[in-house]
Amino acid sequence: MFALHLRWYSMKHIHIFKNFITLFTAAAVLLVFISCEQISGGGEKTSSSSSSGSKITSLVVDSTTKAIYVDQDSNISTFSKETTTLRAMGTYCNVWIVSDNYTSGSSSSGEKISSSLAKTLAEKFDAIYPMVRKIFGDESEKIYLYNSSTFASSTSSASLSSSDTTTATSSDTWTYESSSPVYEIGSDISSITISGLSSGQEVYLAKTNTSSSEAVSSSYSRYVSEGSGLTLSTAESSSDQTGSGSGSPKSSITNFVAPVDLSPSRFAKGSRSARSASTISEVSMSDYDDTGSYTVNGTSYQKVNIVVYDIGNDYTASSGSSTGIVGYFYAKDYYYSSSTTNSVIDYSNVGKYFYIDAYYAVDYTDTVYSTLAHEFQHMINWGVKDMDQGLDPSTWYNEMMSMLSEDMMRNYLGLDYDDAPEDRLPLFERCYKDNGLEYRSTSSYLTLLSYANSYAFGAWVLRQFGGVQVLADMSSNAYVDMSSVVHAVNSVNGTSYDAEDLLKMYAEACIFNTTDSSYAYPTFNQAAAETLSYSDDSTTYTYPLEALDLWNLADLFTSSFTSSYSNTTYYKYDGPELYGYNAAYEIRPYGMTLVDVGEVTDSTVTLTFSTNGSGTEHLYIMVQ
Amino acid sequence: MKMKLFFAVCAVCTAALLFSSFARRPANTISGYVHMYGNAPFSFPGFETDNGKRYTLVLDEKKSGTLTLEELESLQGQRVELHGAVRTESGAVEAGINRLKDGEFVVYSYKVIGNQ
Repeated sequence: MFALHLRWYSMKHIHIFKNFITLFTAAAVLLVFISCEQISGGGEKTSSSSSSGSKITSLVVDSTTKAIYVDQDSNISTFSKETTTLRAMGTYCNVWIVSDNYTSGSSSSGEKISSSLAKTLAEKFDAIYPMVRKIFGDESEKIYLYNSSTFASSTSSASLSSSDTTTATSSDTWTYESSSPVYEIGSDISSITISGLSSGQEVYLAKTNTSSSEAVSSSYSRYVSEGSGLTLSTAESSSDQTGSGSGSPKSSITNFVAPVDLSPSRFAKGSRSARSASTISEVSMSDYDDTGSYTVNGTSYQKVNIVVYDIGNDYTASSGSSTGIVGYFYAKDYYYSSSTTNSVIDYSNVGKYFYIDAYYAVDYTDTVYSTLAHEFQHMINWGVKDMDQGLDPSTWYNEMMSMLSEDMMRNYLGLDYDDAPEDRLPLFERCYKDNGLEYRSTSSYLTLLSYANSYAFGAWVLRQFGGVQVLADMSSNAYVDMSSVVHAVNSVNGTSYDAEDLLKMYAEACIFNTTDSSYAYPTFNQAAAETLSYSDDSTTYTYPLEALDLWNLADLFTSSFTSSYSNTTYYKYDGPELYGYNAAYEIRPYGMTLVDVGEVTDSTVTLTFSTNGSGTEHLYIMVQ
Repeated sequence: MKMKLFFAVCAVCTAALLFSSFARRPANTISGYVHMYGNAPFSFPGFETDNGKRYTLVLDEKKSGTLTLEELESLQGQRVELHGAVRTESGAVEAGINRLKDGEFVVYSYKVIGNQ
């Protein structure tokens, strides 16, 4: 519209146009001048801790108090200051406890934290702090200074170079060999004849969706319609296969172990609506944070603050926590504004903060130790991906990284698998097909499944491709989401896989329950290579990631865990769910459906497939 | 003199309209996919268009009707068209928190195009 006006003036009223330009320029300069005045005025800092009360000059355990913004409701959408007291101080952290959640007694109970537990939290975090940083990198020492004007961010986009898959797609005959038990079914293949088989072998079909964005609907999901030379498995009910994953339970899970930062309902319209125009610049956190620092090799770093209270204000003596939130990191604390922004920045604590629920700290203490590693990864990820590189990590990727942080620290922390991310695997095994590698929080079921699927994929990647070296590469590379995973795997292994390759191998790892050495089966069931280690004066840690036998998960957990969560509606311990030969469920983005086609009865098997298909669905016949 | 005054007023008004954050932005339609970004429990819906632009999805009290962000989140996995307005030069969501690279898209309505 502006361009059209210029053209009209230039043709008909050139002298007027000159006047217009002159005056317009003057007006624009005037406006910009006024705007700049506002910026400089608004950006002046009057206090280094204006959002947190008066500046702290020294930190003394059991004496120093600080008003810290904490959430007030189960939606984690309102914040107000609560008085906290420094109850423990480590080399790298402070532990602050809200007054209502502190007990001066010797033992913690309910949602009351004792000084002893606070000290233990500080010790645990101190121990894992340098180990987590060794893999993920350092959390940012900068914060965003918020002023009034316009903010613009930049980002780089990741692209994957595709590589060839390992199997042919054009032939409709295949001679099975034990050294090559996987065959991709091309989109143009309507039937396939497999020879070289032996009675008793099992034929499987794995269907993956290589789209990061679009599901393959049930009506386009190809399936085996007929078969000869084998006993077909039990057919799936057609009524189960309409709609989105209707074959699995949909009711809400109310009792769940290790519900790390489960998303609350926070979708009230306008609760986080647009704010006034702003400019954001990076400044040193040390100029604004008053919670202390430590020095290594002459470099000063701000301490991490762990705030313990009743997250979501949801504690009851009878039911504990209703939101299921164990802890969280919120990037708002990496912002500072000297003036009101009418945004959540007004509730920034201006520094390195994450938050731990008091009830979980008391009743699920080991889970909380694991959560320290989880939330600290989020803090680092915010610095290395968002702040330093301007990237936009998807939620599933960010949560996967945090669960892998827990995974790599489990051994050091001496935690049972019950209290580690491995406890998400039974849900993955039973319900994986209802979600892909994506984050859906519209129900508790989908939220928990989002975590379970993301962890399972990441756990397999690390055990398959080089342990924490891959994780370190994922954290530091210039990508996020699947691109980050693919680039890290290829960087560490000198390979040229793409997402399609990884999903195919992942499906194999979920189908092949064998130790047969004739084929290099992808598997969860091998300890990750210990490719990096951490050492200091007293500790050497190699980040062991133990083998995970998907077909004997019960062996991982304590008997009390498996007995408490033995409901097979939601949990499965003896391998991923395999569906009937004609299964045609929706396949979610980066998701999969695993099918047991049937048991071989002849040396030659012929399978006929439905003809509907989609461009991103990939079918693989697997024989064991 | 009157002429100059007239054009001065015009220029100031034009500039004010152009630079004001209250300037009306044309509604348009974009197609692509909804994804969730950020760490839980503060994840938020964003939109990646067919030509690679990425917007934070936001709602407007007056123009978005009964739409909710939860409803937009549930569109994941489907190709959709969003009708609304791009907001790039102002109103950064939470002043930079939860703000994707191309700004915000205020959703007035949507249409599911379908999936494969």
